[in-house]
Amino acid sequence: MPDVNMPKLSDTMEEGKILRWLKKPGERVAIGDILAEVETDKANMELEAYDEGVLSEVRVKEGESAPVGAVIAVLAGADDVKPAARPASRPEPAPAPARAEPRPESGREPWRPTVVRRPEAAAEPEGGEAIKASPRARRIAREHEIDLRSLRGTGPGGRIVEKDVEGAIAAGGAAPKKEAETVSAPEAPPRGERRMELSRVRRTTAKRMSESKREVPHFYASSDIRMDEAVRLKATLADLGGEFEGITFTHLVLKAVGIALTRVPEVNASYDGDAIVLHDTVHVGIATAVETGLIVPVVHDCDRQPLGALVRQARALVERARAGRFESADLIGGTFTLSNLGMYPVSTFAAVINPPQAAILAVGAIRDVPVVEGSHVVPGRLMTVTLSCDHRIIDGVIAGRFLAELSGLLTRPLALVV
Amino acid sequence: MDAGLLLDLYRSMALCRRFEEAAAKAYSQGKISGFLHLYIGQEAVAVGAISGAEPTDYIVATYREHAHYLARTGDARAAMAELYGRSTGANGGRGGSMHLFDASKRFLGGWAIVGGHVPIAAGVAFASKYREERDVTLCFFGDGTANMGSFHEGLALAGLWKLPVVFICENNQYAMGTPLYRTMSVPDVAVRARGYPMEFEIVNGDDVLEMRDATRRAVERARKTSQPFFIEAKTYRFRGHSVADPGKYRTKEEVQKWMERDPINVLGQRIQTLGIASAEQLRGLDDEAKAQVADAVEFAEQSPLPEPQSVCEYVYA
Amino acid sequence: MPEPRVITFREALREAMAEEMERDPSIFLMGEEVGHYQGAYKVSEGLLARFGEKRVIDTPIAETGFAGVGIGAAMVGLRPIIEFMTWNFSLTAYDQLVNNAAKLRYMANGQFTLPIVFRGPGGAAHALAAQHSQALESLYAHVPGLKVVMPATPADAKGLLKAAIRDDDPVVFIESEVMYALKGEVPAGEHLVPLGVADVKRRGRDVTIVTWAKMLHTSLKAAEELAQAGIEAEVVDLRTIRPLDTEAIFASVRRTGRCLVVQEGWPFAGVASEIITLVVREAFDDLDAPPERVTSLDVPMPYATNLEALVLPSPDRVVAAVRRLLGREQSPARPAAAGGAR
Repeated sequence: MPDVNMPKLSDTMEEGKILRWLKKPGERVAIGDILAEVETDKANMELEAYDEGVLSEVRVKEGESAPVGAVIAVLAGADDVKPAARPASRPEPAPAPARAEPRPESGREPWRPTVVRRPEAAAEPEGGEAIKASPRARRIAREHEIDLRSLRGTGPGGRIVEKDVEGAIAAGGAAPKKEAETVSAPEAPPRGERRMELSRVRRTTAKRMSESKREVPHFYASSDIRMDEAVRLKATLADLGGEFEGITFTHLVLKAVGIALTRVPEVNASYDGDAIVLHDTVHVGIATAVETGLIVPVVHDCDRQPLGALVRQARALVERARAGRFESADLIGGTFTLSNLGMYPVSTFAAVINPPQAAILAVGAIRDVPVVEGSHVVPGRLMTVTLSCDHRIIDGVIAGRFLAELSGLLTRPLALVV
Repeated sequence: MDAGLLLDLYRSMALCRRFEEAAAKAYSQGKISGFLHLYIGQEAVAVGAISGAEPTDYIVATYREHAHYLARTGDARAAMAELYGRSTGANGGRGGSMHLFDASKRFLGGWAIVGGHVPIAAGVAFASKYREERDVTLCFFGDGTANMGSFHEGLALAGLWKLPVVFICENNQYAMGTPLYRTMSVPDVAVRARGYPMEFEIVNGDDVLEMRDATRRAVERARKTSQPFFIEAKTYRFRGHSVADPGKYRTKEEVQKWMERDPINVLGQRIQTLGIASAEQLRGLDDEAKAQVADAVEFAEQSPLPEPQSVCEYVYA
Repeated sequence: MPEPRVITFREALREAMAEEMERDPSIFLMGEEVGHYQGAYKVSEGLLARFGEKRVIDTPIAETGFAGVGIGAAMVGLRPIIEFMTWNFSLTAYDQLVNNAAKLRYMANGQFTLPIVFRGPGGAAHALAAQHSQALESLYAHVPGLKVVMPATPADAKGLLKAAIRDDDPVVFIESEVMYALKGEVPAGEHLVPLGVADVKRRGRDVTIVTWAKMLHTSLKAAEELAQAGIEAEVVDLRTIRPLDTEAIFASVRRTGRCLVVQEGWPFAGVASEIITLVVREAFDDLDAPPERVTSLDVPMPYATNLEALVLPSPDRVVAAVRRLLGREQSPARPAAAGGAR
């Protein structure tokens, strides 16, 4: 019972429509007889019989379509025309039949999308904004473990190019891996060395501090401030107790900074790439050492809050921080940072700016020193503060004005409590 | 009359006919892809002409060249496997229906941009003359080709340089789907040969013996004198331009009229009239042809596809 | 070893053909006015007298015809040299080159080789206007099956033409009318330059200029000027467009980190585009700037000489492109000819 299939009648034909059956079921069909008219994508074609027999069944009605290869009719009662015996003279087919797979006809698997693997992102620090750097600069930076964000591009449009990276390598320190490879011969590790994995806090500190020191052009201005009256005031307030209980010099400095920042608002600022952002609020962070690293709890509204309230707020913050119970709100929103090492025998130091803030104040210990007053040398109490400034947005004059304000407030500290 | 020759010609034409029928069937089953241009009705031209040349004479043909390939090589397996796109095909499945080649049998294509092969045939003849070899080149093409610039340039150079090439125009009355009278200013293509200048002859292309004799004369003349010659064979294709062409631009009556001078029947009648073979014996020859084609189909279907890793081979030497 | 001689580009080509024809009788030269006229540009001067009409063959104006004849002859074992009076005329034979010459070997499954050279001048000369000033190598290089060769010096012209004649594939060999009189040293004796091997014509560390043919000289002039400004350009002469010596390009770009391609043809989908694609893919991590190209403006060639000069790549445009690559642009002292077709 040979099937009559929808023939492929053009190179692009995928289905055909039966326009008309020219043979009816029951009619005899000879090879070459026209069975039907088929509409293809190119033309209307005649479907001729390749086998003979009686048309027993029509499976696709006139006006209906069927895909190429579908059975559209069945011929019955036909003698199967078998191929005559192969001439003996012809050689056997050379190729192995097994190689006939896969046959094109069998390749009708559903289409599947190709899985596209994204290439790994170029070596860019996590959370980094897009850095404009040439592929070559990126490669060299990758090889030397150099953070592209610490570089300034000198190529067209500020693109970081090879020579910028090479410059950083030449400047030294920036290529620890390479130097280690080329300089140090294999050496036994030092005895007693311990390796401590960085805590999350330490990791963040490390990242932010190195970014800051690489990217922010720091300059430093120091001032020796007479603290004789402030020492007396602090003792008096401590004696008062109440809201002043536990008052420290840090709190006095905090209040003084708060007021000074309103008077020199350029210091209460941030660098935003293409703008200086001046903050209306004065929130001062206090760099605080905790077990896991360095954190900076923020005391809010240092300019507007009375000293007593500041003392309470600051103490509560530091306690929460040291206990590891601080809330994330405690650590954000700072517009300036204070770092006080006055409890140690540290006379002066320079702090690293906490970006994007414009400045940080490093506070040393109060020392007894001889001070010249008029024509006399008298014992005095001096505290050295050092302001680190982002020179992109703060110039020396501004630093000077800020330190003048701060010095005045601490030298005559009554203003801090009234 | 050489009885053996007539039977050979009959066998050869039957092979071409059965091959084309099998190809059409395989195409309808989706086993053959691409374009498929059938030769049914024109068998006397290829078979007669090629039998009129020496096996060492070159053949350059078009995209409707299955019969020419079979008439020269007799290799239905290689031809069918090529149509199937199999590695055992004449060109390992890279050429397909329109690009059959067999360098060893001097069968030089298989060219499918109309007219482009006419200068190539002249070039093959040029090489024969350059090397002082005695081979002649047969160049087959259709009537539609005679309007292409490359046709005229090829004929002009063959005439100018007196190249031993026989141009055989198979005038099947239709350039694709358009009748000749709408596309050509002269009824006989052959007269165009005159200007180059080139001797020509118009032949009944449905008479295999006439075709053979005319070609033999032309080939021997070209061989002796190194002069090109032009044969126009009047014939008819029973099918459309390709299998995708239903041939609706022709009336049933017209097709019927030409089918009455089916070249295979014409030769069969003559064989019977001459008492060389009976109808029964001719059917036997036809069965042999069918068997050979069935074998070729089976061979093609059993043959492996080309190796995927071979896809970039043979771009350069 | 005999001393190298100084000869013209034209003489170098003629020597190549004569030496090869002497060596192999299956080689012949065919084209318009190659024989009795002695060559439209005198490249074949004297060859008719030396080899006779059988092997130096004048043709009618029929590019399709004689290109096809060459292909047919090569199919059966001859080694034709087909001269196009200019490559502009080859477009009438484009079917022969693209549909026939390039395809034969592949579609016949390797049954044939096609040892044929199509040669002649290409590109702009002077004030020949739109139809006679085309640099068409990108068209031919697009086609698998063809080789495309474009020498820039007499020595390369000779060595490459001899190699092309001996090659078993169809070779598109594009010369230049304005280079025919160019003089240069050519090694004495047998001199072959293999196809597919580029040549660094000038060393430099700052930028790689990839170029070929006439544009080599434009690029070398630009490199001289750049050197005055302390910029050292490396100039890579491809010599063969297909097969492309990608390794030579990549090696140079890996050194310099910057790549400029200078081509005479139009910008759209040209050889320069292909080279830049390959460089971006294969040498991405070595790039210090986006690759640039200098090409003709994207217009048909105007006749007026002042306009023609604007269309063609010039040393100034090459210098400007290099400076862009290096971020060392100069203030626009001169009028910008580069326009939108970089």
